[in-house]
Amino acid sequence: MTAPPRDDGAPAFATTALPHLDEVARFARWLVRDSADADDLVQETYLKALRAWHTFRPGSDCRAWLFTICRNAHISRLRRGERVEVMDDPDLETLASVETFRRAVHVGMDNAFGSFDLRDDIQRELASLPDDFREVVALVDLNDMSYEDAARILAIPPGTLRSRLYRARRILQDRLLRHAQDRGFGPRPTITSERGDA
Amino acid sequence: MMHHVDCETALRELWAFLDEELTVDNRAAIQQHLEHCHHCRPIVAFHRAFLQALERVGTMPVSQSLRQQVLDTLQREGLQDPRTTP
Repeated sequence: MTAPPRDDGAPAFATTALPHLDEVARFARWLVRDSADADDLVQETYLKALRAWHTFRPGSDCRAWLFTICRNAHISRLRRGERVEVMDDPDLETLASVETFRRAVHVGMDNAFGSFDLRDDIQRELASLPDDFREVVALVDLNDMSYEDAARILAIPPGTLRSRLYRARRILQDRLLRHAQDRGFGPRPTITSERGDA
Repeated sequence: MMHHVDCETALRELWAFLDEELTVDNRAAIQQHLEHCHHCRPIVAFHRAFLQALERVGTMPVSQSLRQQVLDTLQREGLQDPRTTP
């Protein structure tokens, strides 16, 4: 199948969609734990996008369009296990993350995120998050997407997006602080809260 | 509109503030609170540093081989090589 010709002045696929390849690849990498599968997902995403290019509305957000295709392709490939449902109030979840800060202060780790290179730990802990949590972090934190756009891509209400995002961040904070302490950056961990960590 | 912001209100909106998801008025109200609140400022700094650490992971480069694979796939599908497209 060949991409339908565009004769209406619409932006060309190569100059509009391809520049987002890095972002789509990073998003796919966080959706799929295996890097080879992630590369396959990127190729599938771009193939589907090319075939559906005639449906893309010129002037709309091409990155969000590609992310939606990527995520839908991922879901259709995957026999998903039971998904994590987060029903909590996002405001309460935010206040709970303040408790993480207080525990960090208590163990002398309140400067940990700014002081140490935690990239390897972050990658490892992101990969181990449940799918529902990992994909919100990938969209909002790694691809700088707005809550509204991310919720639209994931087809979830904005409140659910916020709950998942804030919960995911708190889980990551707790785990990263523990890693930092394990490396000897501070006293032994007393951080135990991972409520909802499936 | 948030006229007066206390610590609990500011911290409840902590993530939305850092994500720049608040209205201009609400953001300004929290910003004003933070400028004077020694209690909330280090909490915001802690969470901001965490988000910056995440951002550094998000900017990792994608391999050249993947880029070439995608281009090869698309060209087999009929896409012109963007490097030769005027």
